[in-house]
Parts: sequence; C-alpha cells; structure tokens
Amino acid sequence: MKKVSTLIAFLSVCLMAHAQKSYTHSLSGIKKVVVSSNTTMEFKTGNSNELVIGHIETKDGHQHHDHNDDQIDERAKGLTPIYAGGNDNTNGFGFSVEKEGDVLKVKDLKSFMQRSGLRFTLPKGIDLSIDTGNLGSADVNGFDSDIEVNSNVGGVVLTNVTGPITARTSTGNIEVVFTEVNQTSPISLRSSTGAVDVSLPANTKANLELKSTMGNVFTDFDVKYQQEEGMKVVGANRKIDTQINGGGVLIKLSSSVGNVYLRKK
Amino acid sequence: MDCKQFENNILDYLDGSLAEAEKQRFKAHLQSCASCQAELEAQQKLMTLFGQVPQETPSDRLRDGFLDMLAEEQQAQVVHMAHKKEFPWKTAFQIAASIALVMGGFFLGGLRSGDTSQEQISALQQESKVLKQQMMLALMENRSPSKRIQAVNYTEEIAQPDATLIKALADRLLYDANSNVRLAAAEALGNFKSSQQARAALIEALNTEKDPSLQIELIGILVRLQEKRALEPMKKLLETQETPIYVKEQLNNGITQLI
Ligand SMILES: [Zn+2]
Repeated sequence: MKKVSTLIAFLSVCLMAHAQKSYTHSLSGIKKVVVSSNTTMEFKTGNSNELVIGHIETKDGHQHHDHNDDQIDERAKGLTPIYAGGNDNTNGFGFSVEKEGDVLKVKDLKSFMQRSGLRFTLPKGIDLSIDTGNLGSADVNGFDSDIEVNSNVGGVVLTNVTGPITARTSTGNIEVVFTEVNQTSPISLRSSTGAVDVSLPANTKANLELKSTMGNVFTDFDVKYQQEEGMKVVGANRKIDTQINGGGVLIKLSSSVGNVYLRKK
Repeated sequence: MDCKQFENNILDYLDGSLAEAEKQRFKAHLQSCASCQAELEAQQKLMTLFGQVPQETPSDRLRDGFLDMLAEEQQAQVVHMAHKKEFPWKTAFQIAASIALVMGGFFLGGLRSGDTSQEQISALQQESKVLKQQMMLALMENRSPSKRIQAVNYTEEIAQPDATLIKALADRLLYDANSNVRLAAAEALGNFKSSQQARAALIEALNTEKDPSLQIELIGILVRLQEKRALEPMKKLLETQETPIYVKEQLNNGITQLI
C-alpha cells in the first residue's frame, strides 16, 4: 500500500512537471490568434484545431526551460505568482488567455529574463497577429493565413507563407519566403533600419513598390530600372513602382536605412 | 472543416456552387460553430444589400432593367467564382466594386439609347458611389491590417473625396495601431493636394507620430506638398532628443526645401 501511494505521489509530480512544459487551448470557433511576448517565438503548424504553447527545442532534442523553472522556491510553496500584466489562467504557464468573439488573445505575463524561447503550434489556416514587445523575435513557418507581425529590435522570419502579410520592425531584419502569393489583399513589409529580404516564386503576379530612403534596392526580377545581369542596385533613394508578370496584388517593401532585397525563388 | 476553410467556402455556399460532399461538411461545421454562423449571416446580409441597391430609383422601367442587369451580373459572377478559383473575388468589397462598375456600364448604355433622363442616371450613380464608399469605410475598420491598407489604397480611385472619407483616412493616419496602415493613409492623404483637411491631418501626424520611418515619409509628403505649416513641427522634431539621427538628416534636408 505504501508503495502504491509513493508511486501515485511520484506520478503526480511527473504530471505537474509535465503541465509546466506545455499548455493547450482549444481553437474551436477561433479564426485569429493574437500573441504578445518578449521572447524568441517560433510558430509551427499542427494538425489539430488547438493552440499548444511549449518551449523551443534545442538541436540535441532537449527543451529549454524557463530560467526559474529549475529552482524550486521553498518560500513560494502554497502561493501563486501574480503578474502586473494580467491574471495567469494557464495553470502556472505564465500566460493570460482570453477569448473575444472569434479572436483568442494570448499574452505572455513573464518578462524577457524569465523566458528562453517559446514554440506555438497552431493550424496552418489560422490568422495570426504577433507582437514581439521590445526584445522578442518571431520565426513563423508554413501558414497560409493573414499574418501581422510587429517587432522592435528582434528579427522577423516568415518561411513558406502565402500572405496577406503586414510586418514592421524598428531595427530587426524582415525575411520572408513565399510559397505563393495570395492575391486578395496587399503585402506590406517595413523596417526603419533593418533589411527587408523577400523571395517570391518567379511567376508571381504583383504590383511592386520598393523603397529604401537611405539604402539600396536589389532585385533579380525584371524591373524597369535594371541595367545589368544579376542582383543589381535598381535605384537608390527613390521609390520603384513596377509590375511583374503582368501585375497583381500590391507588394510594398521599404526600409529607411536598411537595404531592400527582392529575390526570385 | 475548420473555420478558415468554412470562411473560404461561404460565397460558394451562398451561390450554390459547393459540391455535395463539401456542402455537408460546411453544414456540419455550421451546426457546431457560433462564430461561423454569425459570419454566414453577415455575408448573407451583404449579398441582400447588393440585391436591394437600386430599389429607390425613380423609373420603374429603369429599375427593372437594372435589376435584370444586376441579376445577370450576379449570375456571371457565380460562373466566375466557380471556374476561376484563383481570381480574387473573395472579399465583399470587390464584389461591391464590380457591381458598381457594371452600374457604370449600364449608365453608358442608357445614355446611348437616350430613354432615361440625366437626373435619373445621376441618382443611380450617386447611390452606387455611396455604396462603394460605405464598403470602403467598413473595410477600413477590418481587423486585418492588410484589408485596412487595401481599403485605404482604394481611395486612390476617388478624384473628389468628401469630408467623411478624408476624416476616415485621417483617423487611420492618427489612430491606427498598425504603422503600415498609418503609412498607407499618409500616402493616400498626400494625393489629395487641394484638401486643407488632408493637409491638416498630415501636419498633426508629424506632431504625434513616434515611428521614425513614418516620420521620414511624412516629411517627404509635406515637403512635396510645399506645406510651409509643416516647418514648425519639423523644427520641433529636430530639437527632440529622441529623434534618431537619420530622421534629423531628412528634417534638415526638408526644412531647407521649404524655407
Ligand atoms: Zn467556425
């Protein structure tokens, strides 16, 4: 009997530890997820209609843990942490999750110092709005939905996406690789001092607006200003308005200080 | 079927072009999802709105002809949607815009046959303009920044914007949470050179905007408009410590061009 209760105690400790490693929320009736966090964020696609928040795995397969997960604070026994940004309703995972109509708002309550990377797994068709706070970054892969990203110093990497996409950084770079380009509404990518680097399928139909106020614009697409082979400077200090493959949805890329790169994929 | 697929199927469902298996899956999702029920209702209302547009037109003959025309066009649209999936007819605004376009074509036809009065035609044109503007204003409130940018860009087609439209653009410029939308609004307002209301909004934005790259765009637009009232906020920005050095460069450059 004693053995059994020890086993139960052991198992429940395991379960508690497990509960700390990921958090799952149903996305039934949800079309858009709004995420804000100050850490490195990865967004991956999953097959079930739910949001799973976990830690980013390192190359050897181990998960990063949040900095204070490992230290058990004896003084905090029987108490729950409270946060200035809202109430943790994620079983100690440190998030506030609220449903507003068909939008799910997911707010990280922990600080940059308390996190070391988060992975969000969602269905590929769900619309995303991502705010990386002051120091966070976003790496998004495989979504064919409407994506909005606002970042400050952290970079924004969007791979295997279709748009519509609206992204903005202060100093971080913006890198986007499109599998195809959704023609329904504009793509707009802006940075103040970072680079904007975009790869499109060669047959993409689009109206392009490319601009770097103080840097250069490079492309290997056939645009009017191009004079020589390869990736050439197509126009410093001015806006390039042109069409590719007969024209299509507006793709607007700009940086004030950084360079703008538009590549054929 | 998830909500996204449901959303993509709504128009096909409403115009009856959904295959039977798809339709069953569509209905199954509809049963289980309150937010998609609401979305479907909204789309139905929108479609009804298009159907009702010409009801208050003066001449019965004109109206009947117009309704036939509209019905034909909706029919054509159905075919369009069923066979050319990649064509971007999926947003409500584009449907509205295309119907407005057909209305324009119809007016020309009416003019040639000479059997309708100029006033009747302008009344119809006026209504289509109002509808188009209402759709544009509604799209400016969409929760997707990409859709809001699209709505702002549509204003480029309007030669003589009214005060409501300029106000809507000014609100985007001053209050939109997304700075890419604010930039699109600044550029749109910059196109309305003769509107004092538009100029005032751009000057106000230079006073309040914190995004450095947007500050640079505003400086560029106001200098291009030769707007001397921008000198004061430009000088103020130049004296502000937080203003990045590359913005100050543009300010100095702009000020010399305005003085
Ligand atoms: Zn649904």
